[in-house]
Amino acid sequence: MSAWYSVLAMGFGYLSAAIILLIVVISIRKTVKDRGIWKRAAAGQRQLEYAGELVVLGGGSKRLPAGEVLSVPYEGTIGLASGCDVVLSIRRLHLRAAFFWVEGQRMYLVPVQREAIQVDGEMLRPGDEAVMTTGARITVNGVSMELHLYESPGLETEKLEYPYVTRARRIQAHRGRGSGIGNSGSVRRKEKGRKKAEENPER
Amino acid sequence: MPKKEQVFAGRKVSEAGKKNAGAEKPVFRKRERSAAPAERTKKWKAGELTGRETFREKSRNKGRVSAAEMRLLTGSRLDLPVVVIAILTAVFEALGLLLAAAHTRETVGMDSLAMIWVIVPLGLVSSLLLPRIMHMDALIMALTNFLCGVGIVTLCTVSPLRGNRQILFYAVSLGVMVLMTLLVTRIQRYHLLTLFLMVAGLAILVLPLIFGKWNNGAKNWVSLPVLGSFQPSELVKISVLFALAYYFSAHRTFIQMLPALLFTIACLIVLMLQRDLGTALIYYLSTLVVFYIACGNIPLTLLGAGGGVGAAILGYRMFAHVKVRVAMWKNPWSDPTGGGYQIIQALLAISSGGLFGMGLGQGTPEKIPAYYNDFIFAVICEQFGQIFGVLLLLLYVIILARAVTLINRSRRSLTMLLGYGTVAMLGIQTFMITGGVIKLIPLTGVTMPFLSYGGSSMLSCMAMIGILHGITGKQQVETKESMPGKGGNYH
Amino acid sequence: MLLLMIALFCLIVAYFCYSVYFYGGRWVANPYNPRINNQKQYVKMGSVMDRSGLVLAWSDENGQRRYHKDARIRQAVSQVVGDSGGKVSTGADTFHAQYLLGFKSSIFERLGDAITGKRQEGDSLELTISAELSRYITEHFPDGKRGAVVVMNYRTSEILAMVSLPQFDPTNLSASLADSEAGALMNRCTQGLYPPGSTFKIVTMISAIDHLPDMDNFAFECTGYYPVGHYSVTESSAHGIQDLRSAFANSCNTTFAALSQQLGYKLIGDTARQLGFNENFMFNDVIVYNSSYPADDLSPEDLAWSSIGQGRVLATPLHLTLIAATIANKGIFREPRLLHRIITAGGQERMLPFAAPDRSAVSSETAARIEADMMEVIRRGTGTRAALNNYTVAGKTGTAEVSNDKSVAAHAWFVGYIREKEAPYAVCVLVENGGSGGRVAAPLARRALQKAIDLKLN
Repeated sequence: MSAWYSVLAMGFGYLSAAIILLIVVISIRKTVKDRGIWKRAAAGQRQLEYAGELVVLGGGSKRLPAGEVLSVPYEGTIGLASGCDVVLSIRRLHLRAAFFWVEGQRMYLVPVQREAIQVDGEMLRPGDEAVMTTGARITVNGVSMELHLYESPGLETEKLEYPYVTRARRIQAHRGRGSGIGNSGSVRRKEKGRKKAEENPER
Repeated sequence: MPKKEQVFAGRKVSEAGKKNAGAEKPVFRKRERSAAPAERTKKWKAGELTGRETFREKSRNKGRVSAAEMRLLTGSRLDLPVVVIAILTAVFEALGLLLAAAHTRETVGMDSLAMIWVIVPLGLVSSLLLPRIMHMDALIMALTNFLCGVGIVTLCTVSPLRGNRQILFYAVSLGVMVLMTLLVTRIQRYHLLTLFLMVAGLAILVLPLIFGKWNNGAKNWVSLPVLGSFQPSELVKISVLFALAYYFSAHRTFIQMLPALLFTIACLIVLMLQRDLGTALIYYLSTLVVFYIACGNIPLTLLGAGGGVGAAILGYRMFAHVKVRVAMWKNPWSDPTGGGYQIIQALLAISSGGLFGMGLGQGTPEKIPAYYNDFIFAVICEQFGQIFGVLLLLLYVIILARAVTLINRSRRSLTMLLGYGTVAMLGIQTFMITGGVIKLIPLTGVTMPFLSYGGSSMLSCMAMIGILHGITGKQQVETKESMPGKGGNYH
Repeated sequence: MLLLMIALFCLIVAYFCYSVYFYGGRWVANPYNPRINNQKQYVKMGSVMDRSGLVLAWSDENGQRRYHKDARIRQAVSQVVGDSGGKVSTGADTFHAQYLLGFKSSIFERLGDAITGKRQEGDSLELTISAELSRYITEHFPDGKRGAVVVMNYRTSEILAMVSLPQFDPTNLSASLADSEAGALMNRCTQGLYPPGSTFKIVTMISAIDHLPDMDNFAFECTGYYPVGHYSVTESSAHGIQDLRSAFANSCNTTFAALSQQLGYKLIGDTARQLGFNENFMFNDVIVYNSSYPADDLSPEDLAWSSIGQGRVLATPLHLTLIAATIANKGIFREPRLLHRIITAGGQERMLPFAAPDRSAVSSETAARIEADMMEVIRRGTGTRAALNNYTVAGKTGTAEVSNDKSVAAHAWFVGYIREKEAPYAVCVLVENGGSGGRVAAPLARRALQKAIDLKLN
């Protein structure tokens, strides 16, 4: 092993340490920047037709202060993950805590995880359905919000390619009381015929 | 209206809000940060502000995404960081292989020179061109290429024959990755695919029991005529991922989750029979993680974890070689030439490397048994230094962390579970092997993703990266479709 | 999920840094490391010198290891210098091989070697020991006896001499290997664990000073035996009525046995731990085996015997020297150094590895008090033969019984130091089966200290 090779090898060792340090720094910066871009884009994206808004009243945190206004589309999910339609930055909230849809002048909310969701003071269990109008007070894990539905008659629900809140899914949610485990709801005989429709793989 | 209310017979909280109608406007808690919010409160109360404005200063920027950034999100543009990383990777690989050629001059040397022309273009094409053609995340691709490059450079220096084969495996795995990406991006209904994967998975997994031979206390590989040895337990990971994701996805009752659980238990049993306990542990832990993400039910998850601990203790009692491994973990110096030889040589190698390494090709890595697959991390620490080793681990964490931020954006719970399963498997495997090499936990016999020599290992890891790309790809497609032109919604 | 990953990563990195930082040096020097032998083929091993520059070991052109031509010097420093074959794993040739074989050379030095075409040379080590002092001590050690002598400079914490008998001749290693029972390859100063005997009363005394402050007002009557439990602690002669200081000076077993019953395992154990017992010494320059003081609560008689350094108490001579140095330094415990300078092949000095930070083992008032007691030992007690003419010596003798068989003599100990700052030397002498500490070990200690003063080793 010549001395020259040893020098070159040691030099390459230093060089690789520099290279990998550079790569690490670049990746971290880019990931952070990308996240910022996404957050802005996601906020902008949701300027679709909205059915109403949720105004945070109190009990919030720095990321969800009192007075914050969240726009509510015609249907979708509520949760902590940034892919949800209504993103609530509340501690200990599930990634997908509930789903909702708006029909006419009412909003229907169905929790799917065991969250402390109260509507007008009444505690909701997973699978329960809450029917709300403007002025309803929703409290999620201690943060209270008020619902304002826009007064716009006749707007159709936007047809997304994979709507999550299909009819079958609503039935399913009622079936599975609890967080998807245990089947304590009773099955209505009427729905047995609709069981085939429930094989819809939109899960 | 009445008909609908009859169908949904769940407990209803009906007509909430009616009683609040007409109540006075809510009162805000005054936040003491600055005067501006207080002013805005007054305006809000007076009904002057619309709902769009909030109290946060930063949010003035909300919704303002430039066109360039938008192209970034849809993946149709490559930006500087990824190009820089790809170039750095190419430089690293070229120089490394040059040194490898100089080092192994006497034996196979010139092959490594030729291999430069193979691997550098492969890396550049896959990092720079592929993300533009298909929808995938360019940064994860570039980082993965760098990791594979480090593995290949190291292997070409310490074991040139294996290094050349590793390049072959790398090329094939890139193909598999593209396949997986297409699979995840294009397929909407996963039912058939999942069933097929489950059946095929179990079939493949049982192969070593029938055809394989005992090796190192485990019987988990099969010898194929052309391809050499092949470890099915690595490939079945994909089946498990899809099975778990499909059956655990949202709003399933326990009965419907059962097929996935049964499948996983069957895999675990077969793996136990094959004595491949490390891989069994990975399967089990990722199932736990996916289960927790799907249900959010802490008590049940803890129950599962407790069951795992119980099984581990049972395994300790039952299997002799597990006892040996734990004893060697506690004090390898008690048997320096026998059971503890491997870990002692690994520790000696790591410490001899110093901060910046002994240099590529110097030192004696061959003394560590399994230096080309399980203990490649020790070899890298010896040749490139401890700083390089730590930063390499950090690179793994960055890949997985970025994957997590991407996964959270998905709209379907199936893709989310698939992504989390993948991240869990890669993360747990990396942790287990690195912990074993530095004597943090006992050795478990799993390989290091991307760095280890081994076709099946490389294939499965690249396939999992392909799944991650597929998930990202889906998001990019969705973002593209909601871009301006469909209503012009952002400024 | 993200937090979990980051936590696991931090765990791995923390454990990695910890194990590499503390154990890395030892692992590199491990005899199972094949890189050491490999490196010898390419690198000319550097030389080992004593503090005056006398070359004790060097490599010639063929790569053979050569030692000092004077056999007496060669043998006196044999365990400290070690051998290059790895048989003496704690010798400088093996333990500090990472310097001697050029592992620490930087890329510029290698570049220089490549350009000039010279063969790469490792660094040379200048040790803190004095070959002349070691030779002198070996010469005056009682014939036919085994043992260990350590001399330290307590101000700089440098080891001036580590003499362990029996010795071996590095040019004729096979003879010593054949006689493995004698254990010539072992460095008894750092690896020999012996019962310290009455020298342990220093620790008990410190414990009493700290935790029983009004003991000075008591008088102790020594009748020659002290019943404790089912047995009794005996004394060779009854000392009559004494105060605490005289009891210490006379090395009265019964007094200290009584004190131990008052203090108990825990308090004496705390003091012992502060002074380094049961501690895993991770010194950079030397490997010192761990001293032990029993941590459990066995029985009153075991407690009594332990407090006078018998029973299950074990210590190395270097550790006792460190205790003496701690008292001399007003209670500050410092890491001992063996490397004086590291000189590269090009003549430059390399930075020494960082020493552990000093820690306060005993308070300075307690140290002052125990120093006064130890001076009394030399002035009027059992250690009068260690007194020097122009300097004040403080110390403690020890006679450690090793067997119930009366024909086997006890180990003779002496631990002490010179008070004056111009001659800051601490010494520990152990003569295996030498008999009485005051008669056998103390005169040798005086000689060693006098020679150190004469050689002006400060």
